[in-house]
Amino acid sequence: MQTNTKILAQEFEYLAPKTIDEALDLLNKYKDKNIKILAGGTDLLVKMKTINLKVDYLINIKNIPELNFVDTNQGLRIGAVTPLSRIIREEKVKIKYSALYEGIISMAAPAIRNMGTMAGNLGNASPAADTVPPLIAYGAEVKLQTKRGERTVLVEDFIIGVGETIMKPDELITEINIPEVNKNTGSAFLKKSRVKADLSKINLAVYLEREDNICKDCKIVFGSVAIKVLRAEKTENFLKEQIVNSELINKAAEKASYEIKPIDDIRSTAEYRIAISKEMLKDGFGLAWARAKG
Amino acid sequence: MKKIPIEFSINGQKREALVNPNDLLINILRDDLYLTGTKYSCGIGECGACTVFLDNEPVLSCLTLAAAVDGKEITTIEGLAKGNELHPMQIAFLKNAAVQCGFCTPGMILTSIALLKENPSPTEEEIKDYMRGNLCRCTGYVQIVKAIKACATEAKKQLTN
Amino acid sequence: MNQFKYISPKTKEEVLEILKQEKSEVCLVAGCSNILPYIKDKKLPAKLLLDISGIEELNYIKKSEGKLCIGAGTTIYNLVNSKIIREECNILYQAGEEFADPTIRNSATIGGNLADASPAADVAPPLLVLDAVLEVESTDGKREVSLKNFFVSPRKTVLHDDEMITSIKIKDDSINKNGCFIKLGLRQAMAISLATVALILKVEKDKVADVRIAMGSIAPTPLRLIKVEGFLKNKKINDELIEGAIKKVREEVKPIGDVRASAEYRRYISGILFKRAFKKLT
Repeated sequence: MQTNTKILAQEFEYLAPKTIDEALDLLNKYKDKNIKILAGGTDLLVKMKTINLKVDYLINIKNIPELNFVDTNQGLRIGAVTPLSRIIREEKVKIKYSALYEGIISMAAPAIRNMGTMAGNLGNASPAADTVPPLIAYGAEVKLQTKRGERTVLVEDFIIGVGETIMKPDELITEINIPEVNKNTGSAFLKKSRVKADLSKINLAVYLEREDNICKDCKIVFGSVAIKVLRAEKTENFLKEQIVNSELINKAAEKASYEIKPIDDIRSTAEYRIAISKEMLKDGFGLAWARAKG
Repeated sequence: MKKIPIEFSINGQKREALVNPNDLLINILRDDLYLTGTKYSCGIGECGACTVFLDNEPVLSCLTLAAAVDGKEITTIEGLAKGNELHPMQIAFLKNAAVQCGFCTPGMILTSIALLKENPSPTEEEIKDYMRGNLCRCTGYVQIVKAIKACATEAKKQLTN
Repeated sequence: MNQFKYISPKTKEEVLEILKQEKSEVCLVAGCSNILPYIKDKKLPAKLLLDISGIEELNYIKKSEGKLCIGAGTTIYNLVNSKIIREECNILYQAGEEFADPTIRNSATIGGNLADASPAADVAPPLLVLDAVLEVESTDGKREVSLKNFFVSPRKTVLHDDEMITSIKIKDDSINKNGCFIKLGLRQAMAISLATVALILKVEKDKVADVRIAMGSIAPTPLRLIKVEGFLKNKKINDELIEGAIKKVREEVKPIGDVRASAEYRRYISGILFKRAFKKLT
């Protein structure tokens, strides 16, 4: 089939459950069929138009009210189909979860953020996803439900490859949980892209815990540098419990550039990604450090 | 394919339709309702020419299924003017020569209205950032930014008067 | 540019003589609006350009013996400005109004548009629904070819290389007066059609008494949609009928994808154009 984008030139059945239970029933009923879950559609519809991703049953969960919420009582609980633009309107996100805030505002453009969802960004599982590095840095978890029950998985373990997650055919992401952060933590998100609305050549989330001039703990998470978003664990261990000074950061930057495994692709080269990762580490760490009030 | 019955309001008018699952909102708007102000361009969400308001928020109609707008309010560029009275943003675009071929203009106008609703006094940087999903191949953007700024200034003047 | 000779005869007989002698070495031209691009692209295989635009006897619109006769050398401009065309077969007038732009309409001819046989030829769908019959001549005599049987494949017709279209005949019929032509191009003028629909309709007591539909740019040749006509005939006009007909239209068209649109989009938009034309007439 020739690529065309003016119409969606494939046939499928459309289902629009109104509650989580209805959705789970449908997923169970059609679990052996070719189903795809539709939230914002900003990735799924593009794939259906351009690479002819075949879908037989499309289940639209965007209009399930139970999946659209932001609960700021303890940490952050975000419903699966909460529009990204709604998430960043929460004061708590802007102030306490800087990396997530900065990650979301780096995505595409306002219209896409009105349509797009965090669950969609996770389910699509692109290595370039901008919500994923912050979520991994904060130790966020995904709640998955089926008719049979539910389970919770660390975002870090949720994505296993390019476009691949550990989701079973009858599972539905219902919410994402981000633990509470305290005053002595700080975070930052950086992204390099051709223009502001573009996908990342490389992105980075840093989350750290500070006590005076010691980095008690940190998470350093790079995107677009491997088949999935990558935690630079060796660099994290190198920084743990260390007195922070420019010499330390420079060494950490060097280490990080060795840990990432980028390739040459349409957006950038491995060489550029490796070189720039050092600067990003320094900048990102510095920002997060300044934001932490330990 | 089983057709889906939907109810929606378009530019203030209530409507019913029976749509195919694979009908896009932009197909319904342009091909069924003759509202051709909303433009087909890239079809993959990168240019903003297909922007419409869905429940008063800008979305991309080329990536929205018609079936998914059941129960919602849609506003297109055609719904902005009140009779012969243009929307202040439309006036600003005209006064500031922000239109050349006009293809990007509906999307630009809708998105910039949403911008001023969220941020009534944006800086030039903030305007450029918010509008980054709307591409223009003619103007070089300078006059568009000027028009949006002018509209914001004018609105502020109206408020203080 | 190619090397070629140019002759511009004053009579039809001269033209037919030259065609008989030179046959495939000749390219017959009138308005030249489609030929010049070929020449510039060095795609013209002819050695002789035979210009018939000066032959007055090919340029006419008249009614005779219950038929409307249009000379093959009649310009689109003349078609559009003709009271007879507007009154007797308005659908042909509508097509003329959408044809290229005024400058081209001054020189392009109805015969040229047909003989060039592009799948996108804009006069073809209206003439197909008007059941036009072509008068074709050579030094061996005249013959009549129904337009339905005229087009073979893109840019190929049943004309022998010593033949020329001399006139287009449309039989009197009241249905001819109730027609709608819609052209979809990528812009409002000077656009090669992405898809066109020509529809004439006779309604009696809320039913489709008679209907003829032809479409352009959606198949290798301009196409009469016979199956859709059969589906619609004698049926009560309601939304269900229209939806059913749209489906049949999309099944009968045979589009390809090209620089202007994908095959899928042409198939989709054919249904929409049919609906618009049908709703306009009912």
